Amino acid sequence: MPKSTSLLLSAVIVSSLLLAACSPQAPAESTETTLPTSAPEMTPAPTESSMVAPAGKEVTVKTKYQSPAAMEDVGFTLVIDEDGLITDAKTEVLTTQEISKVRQTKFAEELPAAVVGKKLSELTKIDRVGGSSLTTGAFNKALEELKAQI
Amino acid sequence: MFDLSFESMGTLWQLSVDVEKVPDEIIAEIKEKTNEFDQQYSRFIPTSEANKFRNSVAGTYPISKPLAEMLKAAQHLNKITDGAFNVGIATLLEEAGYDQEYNFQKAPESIDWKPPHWSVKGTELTIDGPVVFDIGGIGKGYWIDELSKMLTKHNLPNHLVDGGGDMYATQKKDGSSWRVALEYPGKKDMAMGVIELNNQGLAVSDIFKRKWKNWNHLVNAKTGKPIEAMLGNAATAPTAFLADQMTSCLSFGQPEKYFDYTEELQAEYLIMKPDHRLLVSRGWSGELFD
Repeated sequence: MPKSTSLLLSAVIVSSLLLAACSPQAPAESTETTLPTSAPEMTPAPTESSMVAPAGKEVTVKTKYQSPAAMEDVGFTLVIDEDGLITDAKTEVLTTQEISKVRQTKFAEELPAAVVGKKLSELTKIDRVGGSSLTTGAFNKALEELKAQI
Repeated sequence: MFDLSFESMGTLWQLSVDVEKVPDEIIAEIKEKTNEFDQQYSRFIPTSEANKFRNSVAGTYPISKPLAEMLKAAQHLNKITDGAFNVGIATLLEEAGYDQEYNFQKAPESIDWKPPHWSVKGTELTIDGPVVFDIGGIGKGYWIDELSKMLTKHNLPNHLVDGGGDMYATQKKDGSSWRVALEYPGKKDMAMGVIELNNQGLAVSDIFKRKWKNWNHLVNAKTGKPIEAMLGNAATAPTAFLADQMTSCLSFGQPEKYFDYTEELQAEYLIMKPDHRLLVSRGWSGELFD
């Protein structure tokens, strides 16, 4: 996953674990957090002693992030073991959005080599030559005069 | 096949009609109307509508329907290129030497220039001060389509209208496409590829043909400088007007938006980078000589 999303995920995990640690009575807990659109700064991770959570605890967090298409709702469900380690993680896209029209035709093809070209005189059955507009009399004369001056 | 050619709008117009002969009255009408259009909208004609607001104060003014149509398209292109394409660029070009007298020798290194702000609604133009319009980037495409309509109205539906290298082609009498070579930017007798046109418009642009000192005619209205990111480009679309609009977007718009431009203008494109490599849209139907 992209770097910004993994940073987001880490921040979400950290904040959800902190919340879980704060209220040990509650079972699987849901919190809604709206995170800023830019990747948040990584806060230092809490020490292990403040992070002990009951075994097999499931923490669910719903949050939003800015994707190229829209603000997306996303859910994370994490299973945390008694040492506070994440043993399972699931993401759930909570809104369906046509994310981005990444069709095959979106990306133009960049040809790997310089164009060699062909002599016009070598081409067969050409009806016309397309090009940037031909200049005429006055323009050409002025250009000639300019070149003569240089 | 009947061919006719004449000069107008500072370039060479060449028409091919798939018949024995085009009646003289129609030839005359084509030349007359094209010169009329030139007189009305060229910035090189002092009495044109393009020059009408050269000394105007801020305000709202009535304009002709054709100018309104062209400016409406230009207004939209100005928006989708984030201001880089602005048909109000004429006064900058003049300062750079590309004026009505072609004073190329006066070309300065750089120009301090503020883009004029203008908008069109219906047949009304609103400006924030004096403005001169250069519709060269889209005007030829507009007129090419008008000539095609004129020929079809005169019962000459199988034709190719070439306005200085931009064109619109219907079909030949036998239903086949018109085969067009694409000039290699900067190399007059070379082609970079070939494309078949069948009821399509084609526009081609490069930085070489209208070039003087350190300037070329493709000037970005935001930077005030001629473009450097490409040597040339080409586009196909259902009309010449759309193809012409597309090449303007390619020259001045952000590459990230190229796909959006293809969707909006129903166009396919080709760009030649400074190293002579090509960037080609997936739907480009032509053959390339790489």
